[in-house]
Amino acid sequence: MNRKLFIPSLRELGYFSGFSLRNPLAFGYAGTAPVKVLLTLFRESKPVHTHFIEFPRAQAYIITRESEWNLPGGQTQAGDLSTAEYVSGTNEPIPGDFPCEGQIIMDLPETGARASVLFEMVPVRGKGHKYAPIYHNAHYMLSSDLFETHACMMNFNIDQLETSDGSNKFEFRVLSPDGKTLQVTNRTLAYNSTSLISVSELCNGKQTNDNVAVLARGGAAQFAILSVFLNKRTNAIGLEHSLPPIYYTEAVKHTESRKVFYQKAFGNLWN
Amino acid sequence: MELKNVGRVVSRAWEYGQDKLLNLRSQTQLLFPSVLGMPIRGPLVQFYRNDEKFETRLSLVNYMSYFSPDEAITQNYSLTTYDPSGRRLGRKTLPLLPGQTRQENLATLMEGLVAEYGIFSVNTTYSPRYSGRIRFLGETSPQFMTLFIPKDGKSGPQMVHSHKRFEAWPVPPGASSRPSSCVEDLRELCRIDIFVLNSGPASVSGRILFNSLETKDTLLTLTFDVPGHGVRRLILDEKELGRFSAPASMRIEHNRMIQHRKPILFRTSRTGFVSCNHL
Repeated sequence: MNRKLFIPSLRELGYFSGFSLRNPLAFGYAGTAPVKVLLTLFRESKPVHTHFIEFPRAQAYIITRESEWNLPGGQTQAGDLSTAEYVSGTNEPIPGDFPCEGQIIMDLPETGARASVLFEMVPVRGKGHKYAPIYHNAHYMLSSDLFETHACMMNFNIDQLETSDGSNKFEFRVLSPDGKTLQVTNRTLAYNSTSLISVSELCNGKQTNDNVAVLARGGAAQFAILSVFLNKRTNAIGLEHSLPPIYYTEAVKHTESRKVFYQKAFGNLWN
Repeated sequence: MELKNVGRVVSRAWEYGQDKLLNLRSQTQLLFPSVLGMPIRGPLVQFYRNDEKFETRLSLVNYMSYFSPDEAITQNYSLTTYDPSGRRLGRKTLPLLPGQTRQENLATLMEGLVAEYGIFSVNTTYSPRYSGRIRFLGETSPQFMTLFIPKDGKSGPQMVHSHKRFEAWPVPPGASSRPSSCVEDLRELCRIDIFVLNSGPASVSGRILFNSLETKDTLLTLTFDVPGHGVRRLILDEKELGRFSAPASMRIEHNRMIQHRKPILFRTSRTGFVSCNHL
């Protein structure tokens, strides 16, 4: 199965993107030589640029920043999504049946702030695959005078690679520490893009100094979700990825219980 | 077969056997949930720090209210803290009523029973223990996140997840060697703090190798010896970081296959910003 590392754009916060990946040959994982990394930039939901990075056979890792990717306009823009995947010397995808973890790196050169997170490359199924709906319970949001939290939602759809049409519908529900609904916002998140959504934005621009939770539920696609914790004074950030429901309940392992799980967890959003 | 390979085989067999036993326990509970209660993984383990640089905030959720909203189930979380030497400092129980989330300073939750840094464990039970309408969930796992809130006013908050088990029983010795996916451009940093955790009760030793990306040559080795349920802090200062002329990767070696083999790295940029991730 093909796997891709999803790399968001955090241009709204001033950040430049980068990543590191292992060389599967140097670790003895892949027998095919040579191995390259194919980087694809999606802008306004369409693939607008590709760039290849070659591994010298003995080199264990690559670490690369967007300034090396010859991007249109020279840099990423808000909403851009980049993907990185292993390909063969003839540019054929290499099945990711070996440990495929990468590192997303974000740099803010003007201050020297940086953050990174280790992140599994996401398995990308073939065209027509029916994905499970997305259920994201972010009970760890910070929103205060100094801090803000953004849900960074990377939405990849292999069926929509050549078009900018289409999006996922999402409901974002802001909840008080007692579980009471404070705000409900419906958003559409365009395919093959990055959406950065802050807690205060979900609260209609009102700052909440309460420890609110955000429950995001919506349409099926190949999502990867990061939390971006921002120091509003300096724009320094922290990054962490989310975990899918399978880490928290066995219900999603089996067809019958999975159906019950999504019916209950989605309530009237389920159809 | 070499002795170190025998240890590795025994260690992996032990880990496999332990997983099978836990799975068997879980399946047995699902056969008789009204008697034995629903299976819940845990306790789980993560790192905290409570020093001049960071405070640790713990975020917990009554996930049963979201997984099965038509059932009014209270979740009782229990938290246990340890100091760097592995000494148990205290245990607190925290009920989360239906729908509740809690995000609080760990030191406050534990009424001061924390050290400068250490590990803590998280467990949960349901009240009531069982209802026929939650059986579809099968085994669940405590949901918590660990937030490191900076005290310098300039860095961003940091967060790490955990799904690693706290271990009550020692794992037999057996080497483990794992390349981290983390690559650090050490030239751009003025300090690195690495906290090596021991999720098990027996002491663990090992080393962290900093390797050249191009040649795989080891450029620097940091050794550690961590008591059971303890934490060892390793520091690279500006002078040591100055020895690196290029980015480096890291390999982590342990002499026991403990559950949590991912040290937590805090990097300080040359302009004083601190961020972290696991290795």
